[in-house]
Amino acid sequence: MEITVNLNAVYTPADDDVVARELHGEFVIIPISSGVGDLEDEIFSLNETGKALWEKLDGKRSLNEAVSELSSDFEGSVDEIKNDVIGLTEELVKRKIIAEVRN
Amino acid sequence: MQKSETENKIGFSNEELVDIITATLTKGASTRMKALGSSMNPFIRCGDILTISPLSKASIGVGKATAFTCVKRKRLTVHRAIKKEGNGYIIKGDNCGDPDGLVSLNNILGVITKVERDNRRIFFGLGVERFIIAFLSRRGWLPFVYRFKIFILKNTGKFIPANTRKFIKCRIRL
Repeated sequence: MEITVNLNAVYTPADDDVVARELHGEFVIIPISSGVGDLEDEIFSLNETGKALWEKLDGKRSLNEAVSELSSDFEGSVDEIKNDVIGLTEELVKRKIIAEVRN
Repeated sequence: MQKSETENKIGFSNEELVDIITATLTKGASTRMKALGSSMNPFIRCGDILTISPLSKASIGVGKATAFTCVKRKRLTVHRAIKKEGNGYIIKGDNCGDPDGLVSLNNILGVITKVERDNRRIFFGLGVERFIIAFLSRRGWLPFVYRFKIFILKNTGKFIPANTRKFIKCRIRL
């Protein structure tokens, strides 16, 4: 399935379909797929930048705003950070862990 | 984003595991996780994959295997409800000598609705036979019955050790 990420769009975690926790300094996401949270085969962990992006996916900021905030917090060019944000957002949308907020 | 292949890669502590399972069950979803230990032998074995369903989706009752936080063991435990008492159940491991005691419904996280072993679903122990298992367990006879069955099978040459069963399965597939 082709996922197109819109940088002007606002995204938020699909609260009913995700359990997210910080464990031992690692940010862990367990998606609930078909009514099952699979601790055996479906646990995802985000690195530091991934976690920073997750915290900005609050249903208020657009991805563009998140990119500009992340580029002031992390080293790297804006283009690099933008590509990382697009890549991770695509992955999270594909796995139904986050969803676009539509007004 | 990385996919964690095994539980050991992240290594949940007991509190973290209870927190995650509770959070998942509270959302009305089931949790799938690996069983450790031998307290539910032979019906649930170490390495089996269990599906724990919330009490909103699966009703609890005598004979059902339940997930709860055991005060005695101080950790998440999967044992069988062997007797209803007041607002809770007396719970005991099938392979344990003593019961865990009375566990109130509030402390029961969920009910085991599926057991998978070697990618196959295991039904025995969760069906109507659970009433007989609970009865035998309540009387303290279950481990003896199980050992007696193994003794009979060994003496009639019909006992097949668990590791050999896999080999036979492969042979049949060939």
